[in-house]
Amino acid sequence: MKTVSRSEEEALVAAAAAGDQSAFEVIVRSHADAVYAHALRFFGDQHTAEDVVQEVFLKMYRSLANFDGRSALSTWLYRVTRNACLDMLRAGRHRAVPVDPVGLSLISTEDTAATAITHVALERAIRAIPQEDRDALGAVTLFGLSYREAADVLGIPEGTVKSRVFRARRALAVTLGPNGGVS
Amino acid sequence: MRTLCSEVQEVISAAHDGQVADHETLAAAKAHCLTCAECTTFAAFLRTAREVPAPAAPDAAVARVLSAVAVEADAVRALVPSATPADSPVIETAVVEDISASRKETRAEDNSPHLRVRLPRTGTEWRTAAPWLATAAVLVVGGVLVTAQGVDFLMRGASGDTAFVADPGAEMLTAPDLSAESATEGRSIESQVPEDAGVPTPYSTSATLSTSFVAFNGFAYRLAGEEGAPAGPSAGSVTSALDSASSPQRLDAWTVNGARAIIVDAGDDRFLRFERVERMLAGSVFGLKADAIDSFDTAVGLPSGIPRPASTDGSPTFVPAGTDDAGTPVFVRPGTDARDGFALAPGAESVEWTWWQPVGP
Repeated sequence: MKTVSRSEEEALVAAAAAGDQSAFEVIVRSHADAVYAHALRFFGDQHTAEDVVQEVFLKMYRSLANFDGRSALSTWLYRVTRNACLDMLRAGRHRAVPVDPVGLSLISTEDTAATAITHVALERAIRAIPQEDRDALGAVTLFGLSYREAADVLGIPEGTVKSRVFRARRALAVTLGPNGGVS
Repeated sequence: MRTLCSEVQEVISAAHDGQVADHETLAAAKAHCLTCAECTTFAAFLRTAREVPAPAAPDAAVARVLSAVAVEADAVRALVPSATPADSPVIETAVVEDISASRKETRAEDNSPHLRVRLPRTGTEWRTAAPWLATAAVLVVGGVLVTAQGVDFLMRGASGDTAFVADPGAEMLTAPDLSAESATEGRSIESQVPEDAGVPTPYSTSATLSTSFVAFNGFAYRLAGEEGAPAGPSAGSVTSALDSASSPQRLDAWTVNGARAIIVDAGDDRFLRFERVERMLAGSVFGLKADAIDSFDTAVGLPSGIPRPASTDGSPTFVPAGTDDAGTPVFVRPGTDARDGFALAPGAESVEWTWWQPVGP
């Protein structure tokens, strides 16, 4: 994932809104992973997550001209991504694949492919934590929102964001053990 | 876990995100960790977990996004050489649904989740896609006409504000067209489309392909404009975002004229009038059936209980059954009468198959 500064991002948005598709491509490549990861953790299905990516960026493309830069693009994207997932779930078009938290303890951390297993274990553990905690964690760690920005999007106090992020991490630590799945 | 450890770990977690309240608190937390194995372990876990990469969007998914946007940009540019993304919202439903349909077809044909870039259409596919293209053409041309009168007007509504977008800079901005004047413009789009627009129109396509719908008591209602506050108790509620990106809300609704229209409390001192989407067949009025419509960009499709046809000719769910009073081909369930309910093919009223139920004489 490429990282761009706020000023670079504003310039890219302006260029993309003016029809520069290469600028839009840079924006997409900068944020697609966050959108995809959020959707994958939400639904647990990669096809659905890809659908979300497409829906979010098409919406973004159509709204670029109206993006006034008062908030960071990542804040806007997080809001749209979260709403897209919720809308798709409500519309019954997609269902979240359930996760069995009990099964998480069966994940071996002594496999020779330790990194791959850890990635799988971590993602499964994240999917097992309550959605409100996962939302807060994702806003901060995937989209890079500050606690204040996340609070604005989620409509909760900043302190609650802090608590939810911590609660999520605490749950992950308990689930995955002291080494976080690394043997 | 002891209370102190919990507090320390919360500080560590916040520091992990660069959200330190003050250095004294952080210093105290660090000092605590020197003597507390549990908190040290938690801090180590955070460091370890941070090294694990989050899921990355597959390259094919990114390519598909860029391809879809390019298709949309080309479609707009073909008709409006100077068009920018700002001009494209008017075609989004048709294009999105087309892409969506294409994607489903691709998935049905193979198990490769990444092979979803659209291939050039064959002649047969073009004929099959004619209703879709007609839909897109009507919306594009209509959008051009409306755009000429001011995209900003459409985005803001008649009063010029953005009340329906809580944070216009931070959210999807396909705001509803709230003015009665614009609603009138929308209904007249059909008459403004040149007959030789270059795209076949097998059905009596019209501005009813607009997707500013809500569902009330099982029927679809189309946004018609603002209305004064209704009197008396509400008759029920609708669940809608009243735009295409916000979260849906339950909104009070009042019926008007025997439920041919409803007034919806938009929640910001505005009341919106929605009119039931109707058609005439054999002199009777039929309403467009709809399950939940949570947002304005939701294309109305078949209600639950009626399977989507597997073929473009309606089979096996439907068989042709003549036309309605406007000359639009209608379809029925085998063995049933159109006067008891009928379907319209994609492109006639929606980009999906739709179902129409009698609602009165």
